[in-house]
Amino acid sequence: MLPLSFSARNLSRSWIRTLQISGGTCLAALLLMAAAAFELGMRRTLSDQADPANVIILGKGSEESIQRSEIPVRTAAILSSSVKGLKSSLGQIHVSPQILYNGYLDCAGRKDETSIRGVDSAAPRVHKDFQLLSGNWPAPGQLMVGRHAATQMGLSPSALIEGTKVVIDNQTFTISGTFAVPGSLLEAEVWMNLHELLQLTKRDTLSCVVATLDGAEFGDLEAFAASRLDLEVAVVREKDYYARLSGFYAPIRAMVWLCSALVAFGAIFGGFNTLFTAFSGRKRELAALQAIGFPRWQLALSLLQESLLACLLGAAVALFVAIYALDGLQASFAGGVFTLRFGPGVLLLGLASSVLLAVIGLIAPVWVTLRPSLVDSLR
Amino acid sequence: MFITCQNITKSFKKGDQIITPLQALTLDLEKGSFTALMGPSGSGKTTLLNLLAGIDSPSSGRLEVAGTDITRLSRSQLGAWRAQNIGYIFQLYHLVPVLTAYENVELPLLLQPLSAAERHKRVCTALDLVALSDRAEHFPRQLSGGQEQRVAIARAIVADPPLLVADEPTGDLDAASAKAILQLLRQLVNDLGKTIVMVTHDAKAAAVADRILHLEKGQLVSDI
Repeated sequence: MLPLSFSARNLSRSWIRTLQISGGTCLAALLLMAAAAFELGMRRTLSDQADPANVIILGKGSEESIQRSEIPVRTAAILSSSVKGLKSSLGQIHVSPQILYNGYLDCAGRKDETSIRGVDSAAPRVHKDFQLLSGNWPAPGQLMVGRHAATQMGLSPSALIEGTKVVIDNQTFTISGTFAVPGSLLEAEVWMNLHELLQLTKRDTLSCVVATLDGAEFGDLEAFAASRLDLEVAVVREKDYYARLSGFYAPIRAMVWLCSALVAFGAIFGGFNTLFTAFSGRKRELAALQAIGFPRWQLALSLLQESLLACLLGAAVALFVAIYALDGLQASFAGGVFTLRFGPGVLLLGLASSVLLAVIGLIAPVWVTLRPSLVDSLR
Repeated sequence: MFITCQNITKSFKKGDQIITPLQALTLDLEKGSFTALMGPSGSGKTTLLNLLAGIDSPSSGRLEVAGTDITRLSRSQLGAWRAQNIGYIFQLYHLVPVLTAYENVELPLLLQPLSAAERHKRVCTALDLVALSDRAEHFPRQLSGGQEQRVAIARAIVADPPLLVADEPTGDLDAASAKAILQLLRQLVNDLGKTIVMVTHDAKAAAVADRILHLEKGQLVSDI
């Protein structure tokens, strides 16, 4: 058998070619991993948003959009008193009336659109992972920002710190604190007092009510919605709502895959072409080794080792960049902000794709160099 | 006889034409002989050399080399047979550029079940024989043409094959290097009892051989 060092040394024949092969593999693996991280990050953020025990009560006909939904303000109180078996703790029922409003937030002369949620003190009870990272719950004239709100608005995180004055619809508010709801889209929002937002937006309706089930069944809330025709509400499981929302973003994810695939294809094709040129230029040398007695499978194995070494070199760079430069980066989209996570599955995808490229890229050169008769190859 | 060719013909199709570079050739070569194959281009001498080396197979006829009817061997069997029986010396050496002279010579031994120590011993012996022990760690690009060919000869003999085939081994060398290579080949026959078949266009090179065969249009026309 030809030793592995033979394959390793063959990489030094032309460093430019080796770099082209490794670079092509690196780019392709990186794009694939980035696309996978994007897909997983967005999916996970949308699915993590949902608590299986939560139910959203929103306006009939607006089941697909909380923003468009309008329900009477009294809905929360009626729900709390009508439906038994809703979760409660310390005597407080987990029913949270909310307004979701897309407005412009003016910060240091820069105006950016953002999601503003009007909430009361019940909100942390239904969004159970809520954490107040700094500052206080907003008092009148104040609001608090999710830890990714600045990213969502294209601002630096330091632009929305505690004490900063911001303007919404000509009214000035002071940032009272920063909150987190790990892995959730809520982290890209701005939260303020429900009644203040009602006044600010001059509306007399809520967007929705979020309730947490305990002993009650989903059917009980469906029955509530059906019996209270005066409220004109519908109920939807929180996980179903965000699953539908995730489906809404499927074309964006598909576009990310498509763009990655197109660029990766160019990189792969360039790498394949270089691999082909590198190996087919050694046709006579490989024929001479066959003449000495090396069987074709051993030579093919040696070429595979060489191809794997070059591609794994590229994969190593791609994994390094993914782990140390891209992991944890935040990407924003219309619905919020999510984090690119390069977990073991995504990294394995990058590694596996590099191995696959090494193997597939070898087929044509092996066919051209080792298949013809020895006499033809030596000529 | 060490080599027996009985009525061997080699033909192949090229487009619509059937080319027959070797036609019904019958030939015997003794063990320990040095034979030169001469003839104009297209006379069939390289075809004959490739058939003897098991690199090509005849279209018909019987070809026995070192006691094996190689016409009956498959492509993979021929490879294993070559590793044991043939040392091939190419006109353009065909050394692997990323390997040192030592590693190039060691290549055929990687196909044998030998220990590293045994391989080392054999490589050193082969390099000694071609007087290149002091160039063992040099890469081919650091050697002259004559030295490269000597490394190629060391590679051809290191596995101790009984038959050496050489395709114009001096064709790419200056006169002094060519003379040294021919002397080395002669020495391999005289001292080690190797059988050598060499293709050459050069009458001076052929003069080193014991026997000179002239081929024309695929047939043997003289045997000196």
